[in-house]
Amino acid sequence: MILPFFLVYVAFSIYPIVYSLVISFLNWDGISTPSFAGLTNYIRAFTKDPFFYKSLTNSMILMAFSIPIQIALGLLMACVLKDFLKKTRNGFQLINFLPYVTTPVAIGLIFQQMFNWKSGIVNAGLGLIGLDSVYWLGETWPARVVVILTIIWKNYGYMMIMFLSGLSSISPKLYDAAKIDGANWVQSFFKITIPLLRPIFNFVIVTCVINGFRLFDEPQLLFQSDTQPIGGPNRSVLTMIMRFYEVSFRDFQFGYGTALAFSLFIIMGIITMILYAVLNAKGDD
Amino acid sequence: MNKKWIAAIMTAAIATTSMTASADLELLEGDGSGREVTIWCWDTSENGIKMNNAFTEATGIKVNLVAVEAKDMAQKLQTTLASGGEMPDIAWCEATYRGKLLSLDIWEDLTQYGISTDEVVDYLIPLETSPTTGLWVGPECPSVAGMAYKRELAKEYLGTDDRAELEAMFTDWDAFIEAGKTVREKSNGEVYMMSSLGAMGIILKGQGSEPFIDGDKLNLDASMRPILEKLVQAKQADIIDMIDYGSAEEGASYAQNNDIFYPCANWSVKFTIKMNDPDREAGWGFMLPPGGPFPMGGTVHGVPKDAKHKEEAAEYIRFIDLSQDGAVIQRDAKGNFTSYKPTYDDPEFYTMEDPYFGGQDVQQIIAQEVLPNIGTVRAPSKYDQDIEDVYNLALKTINANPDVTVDELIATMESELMGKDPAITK
Repeated sequence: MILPFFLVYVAFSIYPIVYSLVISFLNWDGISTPSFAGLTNYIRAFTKDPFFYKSLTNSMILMAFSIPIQIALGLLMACVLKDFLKKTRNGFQLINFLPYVTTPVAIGLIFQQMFNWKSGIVNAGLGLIGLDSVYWLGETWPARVVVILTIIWKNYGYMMIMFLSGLSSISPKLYDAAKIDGANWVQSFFKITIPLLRPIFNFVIVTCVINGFRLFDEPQLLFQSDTQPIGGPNRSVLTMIMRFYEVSFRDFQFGYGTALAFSLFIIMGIITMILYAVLNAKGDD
Repeated sequence: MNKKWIAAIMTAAIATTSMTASADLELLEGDGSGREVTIWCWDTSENGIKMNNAFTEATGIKVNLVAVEAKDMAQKLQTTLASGGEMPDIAWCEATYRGKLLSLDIWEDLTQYGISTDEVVDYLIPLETSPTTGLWVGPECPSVAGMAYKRELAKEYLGTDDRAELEAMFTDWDAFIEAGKTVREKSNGEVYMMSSLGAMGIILKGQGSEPFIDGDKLNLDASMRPILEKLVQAKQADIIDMIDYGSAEEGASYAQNNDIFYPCANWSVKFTIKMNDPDREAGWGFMLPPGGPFPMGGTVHGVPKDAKHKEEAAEYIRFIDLSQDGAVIQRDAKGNFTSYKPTYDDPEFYTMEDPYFGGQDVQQIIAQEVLPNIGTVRAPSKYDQDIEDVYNLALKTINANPDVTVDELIATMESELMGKDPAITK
C-alpha cells in the first residue's frame, strides 16, 4: 500500500540527497569525467574559502537584525488587529500579508528603485529634510540595512498571521479576569499574551533562523544585474546560499558547491538543535 | 446586464489580442525537407526573425529560436549537458561570459564543415578562440565602438560640437579629465563628462590588451592598474555621474542633460541611443575617444559537439556570418556588422548619413575608421566573469570612497580572486 509513496519518496528525496552527497566528494564541472576529491572540498570550505565565513557572518548579521524586528512587528500588529481594529481586521490583515505573497523579483525591483542613489524616493525624502543622500546600494552597512528592511517588510505579515492564530487560542476569560483584577492592556500583554504565545514564538524563531540561513532572493535580486558585484558592496550581503549558487551555477564547481550545501546543512542542524534546547529549557522553567 | 457587458468586453479584448498576435511576424516553416536548426539566443525580436526568415528563404532550412538570456546561457548549457538534455544547434556566447563558455570543451570544430578563419575579420579571431583548447569556436559580429556625445552640451560647455575639434581637444585621458573640471565649473556642478564609472571603464578596458590573469597567474598590476588609476583620477575630479553602468537610470540619462559622453558601439546607435532618447533629432555626435577605438561586447555563435543538426548549423553560420548575402541581411534587418572580411573592401557598403547625428555617417566612420584601427585585443579567459565581478566591486568602492588608493583596490581584487578560485596564484 505504501510502496508507491515509498518509491516516489526514494526517487525524488532520498536519491538526490545521496547523489549530492556523493558529488560533494568529487571534482566535477558537469561536463568532464568527475574525479575523486576525498575531503578536499570540505577542507577548502572550512579552511581556505574566505567567502564561506564571510557569508556565514553576513547571514548571522542579517538575521540578528531582521528576526527580532519582524517578530516584534508581527506580534504588535496581531495584537492591535485583535484588540483595537476588530471591524477592519480582515482588510488590514490582507494588506499586511500582501508583501509575503508578492513575487521576490518585484520586491527586488521596488527596493532597487526606492533606494537608488540618484532617483530613489528615499534619498529624495532625505533631501527634503536637509540630509545628504546615502549610497544605499553601494556601501556595506547601508546595503545591509536595505536587505534587512526588505526581509522585514516581506515577512512581518506572515508573523502576524502566526501570532493571530496563537492569539485566537487564548481564552478571552483570562483577559476578562485580568481586567477585573485591574490589569491594563500592557500588563495583560506581558503577563498573559506573551507567556501563552510561547509555542508560537518557538516555532517562528526556529523557522526564521532556518529561513535566515537559506536567505537568497532578497539580496540576490537587489544586486542581480551584470554590472553589480555578487553579494553587493564589499560582499556585505553575500549569504551562504548565494555563495553556493555562485560556486555551483556560475563557476560550475558542482563538487565544491554541494560540499558547501552540506556544510551549511551541518551548521544549520547544529544551530537549530542548540536553539531547540535553549527554547525548550526556557519552556521547562 | 453587467455580466453581459463584462463578457462582451472580455471577448473583444481576446479577439483584439488574437488579431494582434496573428499580425506579428513569425518564423517561416522551411521547405518541408525536415531540415532545421535550433538557436539559443536572446534576440527573438522582429528584426531577428526577419534575418532568420531570409536564411530560410535562401536555404529551405527552418530556424527555431529559443530565448535564453545571455547571463543564463552558460548555466543552461551546462545543466543540459549534465542532465543529458537536448543541446541547441547554435548557442550565442556573449562577451562577458564568452571566456568561460569558450573554455568548455563542448564546441564543434567548424573547419570540418569547410568554414575557415581566412575570411573572418582579423581582430575577431582571438576573441573567438577557446582559451583552453585553442579551437576557433565560431564567428561573431564585430562590435566596435567610439564615443557618442550630446552636441548641445558639448557646444555649451566645451565650446564646440565638432568631432575633429573634440578629438583634438582630448589628446589623452588626462586632457579629458581636465576638460571635465571646466565643464563642472561652468555648469555649476550640474553636468558631468560621463554617466558612470562603468561607462568610462568599458572604454579603458577595451583599449588594453594585457591579460588580467595570465594562465592562472594574476597580472592586475600591468593590466588593471592603469584602468583604475584613470577611474580614480576621474572620480576625484568629480567628472563622472553617480549612476550604475547599464542600469535603468543610465538609460534614462540619455534623454536628460546631465551627462555628455557615452561609449557607443555600432549597435548602440539604434538599440541604445535612439531607443533611450528618441526626440533629440540632430542632437548627437560621434567621435573617437581619447586612446582610440575599442571593441565593446560581441557574441560568438558556437555549435555544440552534441548538437543534432550540425550540418545545418554550419550552413547557417556560413550563410549568415560569412557571406556577402549574409552581410546584406544582417545590415538591413538588424544593423549588424558582418564578420566576413571581404565586405569591408567596399567603403560604401556601410553608409548612412544619420540626421539624428546631425548628418554624420556613423556607420561608415565605424566601418572605415574604427574597425580597421582595432589593434591587439585582450583574449578571453575562463576567469572573465570573476574579473568582471571584482572589477564591479572596485567601481562600487570608488563611488563610495573616491579617496581609495589604487594599491588598496588592487590588493582587494587580488585577494578576492584568489579566494574565489584556489587555482589562481599571485
